[in-house]
Amino acid sequence: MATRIESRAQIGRLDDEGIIRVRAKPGVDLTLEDAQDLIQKLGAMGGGRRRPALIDLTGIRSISREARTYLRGPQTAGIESAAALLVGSPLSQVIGRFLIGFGEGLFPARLFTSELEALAWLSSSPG
Amino acid sequence: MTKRILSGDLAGSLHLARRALDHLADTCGTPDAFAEAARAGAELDRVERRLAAAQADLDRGMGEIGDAIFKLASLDFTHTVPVSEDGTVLDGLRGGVNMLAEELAAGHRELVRAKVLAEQGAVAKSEFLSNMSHELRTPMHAILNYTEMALSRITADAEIERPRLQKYLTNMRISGKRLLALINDVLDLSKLEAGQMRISRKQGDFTSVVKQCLAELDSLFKAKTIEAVVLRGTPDCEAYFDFERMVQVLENVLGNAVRFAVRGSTVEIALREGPGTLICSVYNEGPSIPEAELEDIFDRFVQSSNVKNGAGGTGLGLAICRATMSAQGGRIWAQNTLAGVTMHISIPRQRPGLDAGGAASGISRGRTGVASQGAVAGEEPVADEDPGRRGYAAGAKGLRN
Repeated sequence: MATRIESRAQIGRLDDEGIIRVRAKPGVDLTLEDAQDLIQKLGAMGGGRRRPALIDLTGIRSISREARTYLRGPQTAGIESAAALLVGSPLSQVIGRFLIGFGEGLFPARLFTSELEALAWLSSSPG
Repeated sequence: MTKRILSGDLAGSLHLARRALDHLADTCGTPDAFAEAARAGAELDRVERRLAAAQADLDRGMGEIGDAIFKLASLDFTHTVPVSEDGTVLDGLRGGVNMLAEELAAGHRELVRAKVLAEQGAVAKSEFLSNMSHELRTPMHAILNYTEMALSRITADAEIERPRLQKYLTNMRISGKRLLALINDVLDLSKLEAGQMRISRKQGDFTSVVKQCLAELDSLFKAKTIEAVVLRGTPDCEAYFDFERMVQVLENVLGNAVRFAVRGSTVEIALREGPGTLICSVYNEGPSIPEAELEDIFDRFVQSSNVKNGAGGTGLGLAICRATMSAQGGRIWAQNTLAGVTMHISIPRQRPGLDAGGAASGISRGRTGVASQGAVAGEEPVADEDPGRRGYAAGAKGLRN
């Protein structure tokens, strides 16, 4: 089972704590194809188990609506038990806010500007 | 010192700082102080230029965002604002506006779609009410007219002639039946949609359904000199269905086929093997259905635009057929073929959960397959037993006998 993945837009790995860590490549414009590719690869990497995920969006430039919808959807819920979105710049904060969406999601998701806080939340989140 | 001055306010402080430095250079006059003042002045120039550039960027960015918001307000969701990789506050605003535009565009599309559907629904309901009023009024008028005629004859002649009275009563019965059929259609559809229609399925020979329908519609076929031909592409016509409901469906389909068939033509009823199903296909030569309407004709109150004028009916028949087939685990769909239309009905071969061997053991296979039907688009081809496609029964009587 691979513990690292790389695609056009993201790099990911499964750490020793069983947390999926994904980082969007700097300046990337994330499309639906990127999102589908990511979830497919993460699914294979996670070995069929739902795991907490730390998603680093600090470098992202944009994300399409289709990608946002997909990443909030059941395919992602099938592999992620909770998602901590790491943001930094004002742009990434806005993108993170849109990515989480405006209603109740299929899995818990929150924005963080600190990786430590994000990991602490993930370790305490259910699932 | 200069840094402390510059760390204050931007525009106003810069002028104050410049004046202070000029004054310092003028009054002190030492070479060191002069050089310090010159360096500070140059730094101030650079800062001023950067501030001016930043201000211009901000103005341009806010202008772009303002334009984008204005376009959103004008329902133009195609406009996007370029976002840099710097991720600044301005980029955050730009990205937010872009994503907001996408969300609004999606919401707007959904609203437009819902509006179109609502409008179509309103039109369909108006047409339905119009058709229904006509369909209800016509037989009701007939009943009332014949009643009036009979009453007036009785009053005038004291005793009405028997044949005339018989004719009046017969016409009243026909009109009454039409009314009842119409009311039954409405009630059936209501029950089917509410899931309250009782469906009683049994294993049986589907040819009995065909025979029953052809017998009941015999006069309709004869009236348009249309011949019914039954083509059996499978010797085994056993299936799992509700006889009464299946007769209702096939009668509806055959009734439509005759109604829209060219006078003097042939209506073909083909029985063949489907995947786990028996497929009954009814073909008639006549006007085709526009491709975009092949599904819509199964909606309530909808009739094909090619035949709706003068075709009669309320547009409920096929909706009832589809709901009835669905309730029986089957399917009904339409297809344009050759110079006409084919309606396909697929009926489950056996009760769900029974394997082929178990269910097939009780099936009579004694029938003779005589003709085979070619494959229909979207269905598995049927192995030809006799490519010559001989007519099994020329006309309705053939099968009945």
